This record gives sequence, C-alpha cells and structure tokens, in this order.
Amino acid sequence: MDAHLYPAASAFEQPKRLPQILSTRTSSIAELKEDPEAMAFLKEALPGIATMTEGPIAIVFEAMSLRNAVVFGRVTQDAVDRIEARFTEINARRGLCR
Amino acid sequence: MSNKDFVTGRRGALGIVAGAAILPLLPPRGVAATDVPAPTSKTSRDIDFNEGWLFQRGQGSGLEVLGLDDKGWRAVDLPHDWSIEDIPGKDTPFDKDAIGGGPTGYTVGGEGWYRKHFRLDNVAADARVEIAFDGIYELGDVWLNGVPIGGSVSGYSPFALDLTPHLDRDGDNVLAVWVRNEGKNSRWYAGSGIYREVHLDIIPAGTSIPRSGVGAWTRRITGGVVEVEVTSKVSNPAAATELVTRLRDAAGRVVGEAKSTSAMEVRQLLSVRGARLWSPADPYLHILETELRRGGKVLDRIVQLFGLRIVAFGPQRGMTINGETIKIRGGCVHHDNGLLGARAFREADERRVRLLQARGYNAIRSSHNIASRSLREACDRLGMLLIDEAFDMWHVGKNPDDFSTRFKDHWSEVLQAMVLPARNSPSVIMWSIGNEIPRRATPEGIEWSWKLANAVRRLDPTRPVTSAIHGTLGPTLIPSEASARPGRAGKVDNASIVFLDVPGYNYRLEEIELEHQAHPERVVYASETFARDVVDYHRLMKANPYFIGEFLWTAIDYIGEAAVGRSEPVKPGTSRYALATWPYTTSNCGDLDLIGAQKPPSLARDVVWGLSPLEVLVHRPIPAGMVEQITNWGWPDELPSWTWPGQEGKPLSVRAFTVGDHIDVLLNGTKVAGKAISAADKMRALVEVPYTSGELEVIAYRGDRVIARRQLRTTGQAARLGLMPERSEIKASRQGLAFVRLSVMDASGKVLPDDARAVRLAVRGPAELVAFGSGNPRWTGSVQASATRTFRGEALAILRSTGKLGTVRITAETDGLLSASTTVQAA
Repeated sequence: MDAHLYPAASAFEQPKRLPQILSTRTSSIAELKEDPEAMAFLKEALPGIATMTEGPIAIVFEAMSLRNAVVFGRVTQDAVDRIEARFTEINARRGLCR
Repeated sequence: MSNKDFVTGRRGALGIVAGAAILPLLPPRGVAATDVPAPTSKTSRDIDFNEGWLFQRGQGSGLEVLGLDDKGWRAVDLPHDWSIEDIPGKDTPFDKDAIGGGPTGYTVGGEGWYRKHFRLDNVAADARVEIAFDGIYELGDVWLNGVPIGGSVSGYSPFALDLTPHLDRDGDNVLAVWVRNEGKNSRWYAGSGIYREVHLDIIPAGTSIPRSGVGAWTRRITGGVVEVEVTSKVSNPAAATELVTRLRDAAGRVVGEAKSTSAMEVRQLLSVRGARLWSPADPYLHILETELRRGGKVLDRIVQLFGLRIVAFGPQRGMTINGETIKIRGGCVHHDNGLLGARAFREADERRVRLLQARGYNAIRSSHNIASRSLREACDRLGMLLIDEAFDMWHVGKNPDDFSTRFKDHWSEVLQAMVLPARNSPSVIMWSIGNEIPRRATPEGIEWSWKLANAVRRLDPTRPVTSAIHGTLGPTLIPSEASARPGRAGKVDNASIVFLDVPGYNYRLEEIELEHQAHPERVVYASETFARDVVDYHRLMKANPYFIGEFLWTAIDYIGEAAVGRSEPVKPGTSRYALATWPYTTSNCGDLDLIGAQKPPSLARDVVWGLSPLEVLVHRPIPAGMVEQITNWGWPDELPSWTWPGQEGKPLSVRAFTVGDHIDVLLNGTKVAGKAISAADKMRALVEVPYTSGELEVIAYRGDRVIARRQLRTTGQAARLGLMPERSEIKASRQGLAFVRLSVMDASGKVLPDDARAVRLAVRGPAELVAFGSGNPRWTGSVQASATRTFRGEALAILRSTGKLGTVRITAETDGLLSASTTVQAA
C-alpha cells in the first residue's frame, strides 16, 4: 500500500464560470441577489429577502440557499416551492435545464 | 496513566526555573529519559518555561522596562487566562454588558501584562536561545530586557522568538509580554492571556536543526516492511557533519536508521520490518530521533514521537487507515476547557479526549482554530483522529475586529504555524483551511481558496486539504490544467470546493446523496451536524462508502455562543430570534456538558453508535399555555429521571431510544404502554405515562427476545453529598490537575437528577482550587470561588498541584446535609 499525495498546483487561473441555473436548492442567496430577474420576483414573493442578508449573521447567511433558510426559520417551505416553480420557468426561457 | 485509572460513570464523566544549573536533555513526553542517550553539549529543547511569571491585568505603559519594580505583581504559572477569573471588584467573570456579548459568553477581555525574571548561567556561551509560545490570545508583543523582539500574529498560532541578541548570559533577564484581547474579535469564548504552554529551546551555535525542520511520513507499507520518508532541514550545514535519523520503538530499540552527509535539506528513507502501526485502536508511537554529528560528537538532536500509518481517501472505500475502512464518529470542539477557561493544561486536554472516547468518538475537529499542542499530542497518544483548522474567516470578517483585519498580511504565517509543528502527528488526518467562509464563492474567494490550499500542499503534500462548507457549494465552473487538482482539470466542479481534496459539509444532510449522483468522484463528510440527525447520519455513513462520517456540533459544551443550543418553554408564536441570550453564558449544544457530564443527546447517540441498546428520557413538563422552542442545535428538555414531584397523575412524555423493534413500559411492575418501532421512527418511541413515583421500567425487544431493560427510579430527599476524584493521584507538578466530582445523593446513594443547591468546598494540602462549578448553561457567577451551585445534582472541582508531595484532602458541605470528604495523593 502506497500513501497518496496531494501535490500543489502550478499556477492560479480563475476557473471558467458556467451559466447558472436558478434553484432554491443550489443557488445561494448572494447569487440570487446578482440576478435582476430572480431578485425582482423574490422581492414580491419574499418581502423579507432584502433584510435576510442584513444583520450580524448576514455574511454567513448569504451563502445559504432558500431551502437552507427554511431550516433556520427564515422562509416557509410553501414559499420555497412557489419560488422553485417560477425559477423553473425562468430557467426554461433561458435555455437552461438541470 | 492507563485508561482504567480514569473514572467515567453512567452519566458520562460521573459517574527551568530561572537560572537552572544544568539544562537536561528532555525526551518527548511519554518517553523515559533512559531511552535516549544524552548529548555531549549543554543544549536542550522543549524546556518547561511555564512557572514563575508575574501578571498585571489592565492597561499600562512602560511595563516592559528592565528595571521596573514589579514586586507588587501577582505571581502566576502558565497556562493562564484572565477572562475566566473574576472581574476585578466583582465576584464573577461575566458581565451582561461585555463587548463580545453572547458570542464570547459575556466575558471580558482587555489588556494584560506578564513579566518573567530568569537566568541562564550554565548555557553554552555561544548557544542560541529561543522562546516558543504555543498560543497567546489575542495579540502579544514581547520584550527581552526592555528590547522588543517580536510578537504574535493570531490568537491561536504557535510562534517562537530568538532571545539570543539581547540575552544577558551571566545576569538577570526579564521577559515582558503585553497581551490584548480587544473589540469584537471572536464568535466564541477565546480567553485572554498566555493560555497555552511556553517552552525554551537552547540550540547549538553553528550547525543545527531548525524548529519544525524535520518532516516524516509513512510512504509505503508492503510485505511487512514500512517505509518512512524523512526530510530534514539543517541550518548552517558544516563540512564533515552527518545527519543521522533513527526510528526507535517504544522500548527504545532502534528499528530503522539512515545516515547522510548534512546539507541544507536532507531526504532519507527508513525501512522498518515488522513494525507496529499506529491506528485509533492501537495508537502505538515510535520515537523519531534526528541527530547532527561530527565524528563521535552529537552537535544537535531533535527527538519527537511519530506514528507509522497510511491514511487514504477514496469514493469506493471512504477513509482507510492502514488499509482498513474507518468511519468518522467525530465531534467539533472549541478550544476552551470548560471551567478552566481557555487554559490548555495537558491533563485537561487529555481528559477531554478520554471523555469523548468513552462516548464512542474517534475524531475531533478543532473548530475553528489551530489545536493546542497539548490537545494534538493527547490525540496522538490516545488514538483520536484530528482535523486541524486554520481559519474561521479569510478576507471578509464575521466581526469588526476579527482576524480578517490581518488576514492578507499573515495568512501564510498561520498556515505554517498550523502545519509544520503538527505534520508528524499521526492523529492529524486533514488540514482545514476554513469554516463557513464568507464570500468564498466569489472570484476573490476562489483565488484565496486556491492560494491557501496550495500553500498547505507545499508545506505537507501527504494530507488532504478540507474546509467546512455551509449552505450551497457555489456556482458551477471548470478549473484549468494549471490550477486544478490532479485529474480535475476541465471537469465541472463548484466554486466552494473546486480546490479542496475532501470537502466538509455543515448541515447539508439532504444534499449529500443528491450531489453524489452528479459527482461520484467526491469523498465527503459532515463537518458539522445537528444532534437530532444522529440516526440519519449514521445510516448515511453505513450506506455510502464515499461519505466518511460526521462531526457533531458540538461534542462538549463550551463557553460562548450563549444559548445556541437552548430549549425552553415560550408563548406560542414567539420568534426564535426574539429571545435574549443572557443569562446563558455557554452554548448548551454539547453531547457532554461543561464539566463533562453526559447530556440527553449523548444517551441517544450511545444507542445509535452501539454503546447501549436502550436509553430512556422523560420530558420536563411544559407549563400550560406554553410550547417548547428548541433551536437547531438544541435538544428537548429531557432527563433520565423518574423524579417529578408535583406531577402526580399527570401524563409525562417518555422517550425510549433503542435498537429494538418494540418496547413495553412498566410502572411499578404494571404495563402501562407499549410501542412498535419501525425504521421510520429512527430508533425512537414516544409514549405518555401518568406520573406516579416509584420505578419506571422500559423493556426493549427484538422480535420476541428481550434485548435490554432500563429502569428509572424516583429518588428520595437529598441526604448527603458525595465526592469522587476521577483519579486517586495528582501529579506533584504545577501542571498536575485533579478533577473531583461532587454529587447530591439521597439516602440510598442515588444522585438527585435535577438538584440545584449551594455547595462549598475546602481544600487542604499541596493543591489549590482553580475551578469549581457545574454544567449549568445559565450560570453567571464565579467559577473560581470555593462556593457554587449544583446543576442536575452535580458539580466539578478542579485542583492544581502546588508541586509538592503529600495528601490533598477535599471537603464539601451544604446546608442541612451530610458533608463529604475525599483525598488524592500528590505524587
């Protein structure tokens, strides 16, 4: 049995970012805030979204998804399900699928 | 100390002096001095420099000067933490208005000064002298004889300073250390002061082995032969000197040896036939000796403990140690030692490891900072796996005054301070570069992730790099050939983990199997989990090789993050964010409480992890009109108790945890309830039982077979106190501690499970009381006074040896009950 090694890479290059699918499970709140169409809808569906990333724990909270936010009592499951349905429409219009 | 000397009960842990004449060569701890031949020069390493310091709390200027009159300063021996001491003029370390608030447990930081007078009369005239601090919180500046010589860059980094240029070799020397813990710099209790050990190294002039200059790893195990590769750095390599590396077994026998001409860097290979390997089940340690020799003369020598083992990670077999798959049953721990505050006493760190092992834990995640040397070495000795962690944030802070303000200037030093001293520790299985890092998935965060991961790999390519990821994994992206991990160039990954070898997931239970479908190449673990999910994670672990285990948040209660694990009655509709955290001062989210006693979630875990077939808990009645609010890190307010005065005739919720498929519940011999348990019940059965005092018995069955019985009996009135030392001896050294458990018992000797009363303690003999308190998460009084209150029938006294031999007598008293006394021998 040989030990496995983890060699250092040679140089940093920014990875190529792929088109992002909107999702209540995999999109972070920070990422959603960067998407104007998603954010416009979220402001209607979730009036508290603007304040969700404010306050002392906001900096940690913004990496979470909307489904994560359910666990922490910030969003209801019903709301998340409605948002997911809308995201699916937007993704389809953008030609993005899972 | 052997395992059998350490008492744990059913309810967890209840049940050179200045101017030393000759500096001896000190072998590593645990190695008998006779095992290692003495060197021929008057040099040495790792000299205990913890005694005889002076301390003054508060601001001051000019306190570093050589001729300062410090006779009025308080004498302290390290480790020391002023934040756990009573605030001057008060009888508590807690202040509701403390700047750190609930996150730091309402404790107070500020400034403090240390001074130490010492002489080094018999050190070789040309020897270099270094002082090594294992940790100062948060920032420290150091002077020798009034001259600034350096300081720390972070609160958890070990660092060393060269005393040589300003040392008076024939006269008195004075070290001064100015420590600051200011502003809002932490999300948990950090302590304040020189809270970890300090050592002195006497290093020969000329050719020598630099600090942390020897790195060894087990390269291959095949056909009964173990190959160990050792890379050693040499400072000022001189002609005709050779570097000799030896591996000895625990009995001191040489089992492998290599000799090379010395150079700036020397790589050697040792082959050991039939060697005993290190593993959690058999943490056998070898002794790694590195010598610089000229002719027959030893110029310098480093001796350290080393374990032969290969830890590997892969999606098909998970984590293997020496070829055997091992699942992680881990717990996150903050660095404090409960009532001792942040003080990293060796015996306290070792006690933590033993307490966790008694509850089935095999791994610790040092969250979210570099582990103390004493904790890491306890893990090495006892076979506890360890993830060492560097950062809680990178370039974006979580608090205005935290390490993010210095990160860009000092990240590299912190990584070196974590990796280099610990890379020979067999217990360390991964290096973590962060916890819940803000903005990690932005382009800047991705670049930092790459820099940090690859800096670690350059320091130690033998262990995977990890980080604890919460929330989402970040946008999908594709790394280039130059940047990627081996085999990952051009392949889709996620921003938060693209440069990690083994990602850790905080609270991502539902995502793990889903993500595996798209990324079967990943090996993952849960770096933080909720206690309520113990069954889910256990099933995940058993079913999926690529999922290597979990780390509970947290294994032991800690000071700070006040009330994060609260459960209490509230009016319906009360927001979980509306409750004040004061008077909570501790987290209350541990499996074990602040004094090491087992809490209800630990009993449930005992069943899931196979330590017990059946455990029974009873919920404290919730007042009418109220509902119980439990945080994600909390647990229902249950007790293993059938003593509920005032509840006669009222139904109580009884919850059984069992590996059985059904239970019967008997009250005073009569069956009052029964329940089948399906897989969907996750090993839990809940029944209602009208309360009558006496005996509640739960019987667990598998099919027709009784597999376990558990009785809870109503206790009588409090009758007496009990005192039980966890060990019968205390080491006669200032680093020697004795942990003495106090309990309130009825006439038959049963501990009252929910008793709270004032108790007083007296200590006579060669030991002092350094901590006295309970696991009460809402305690706001002193933890160093000779009086406290019990919580759930218990308290803990911690004594520190004065360094003298003799009998220590401890007496406990309370109003109206028989007192108790016990002794420990200082030897």
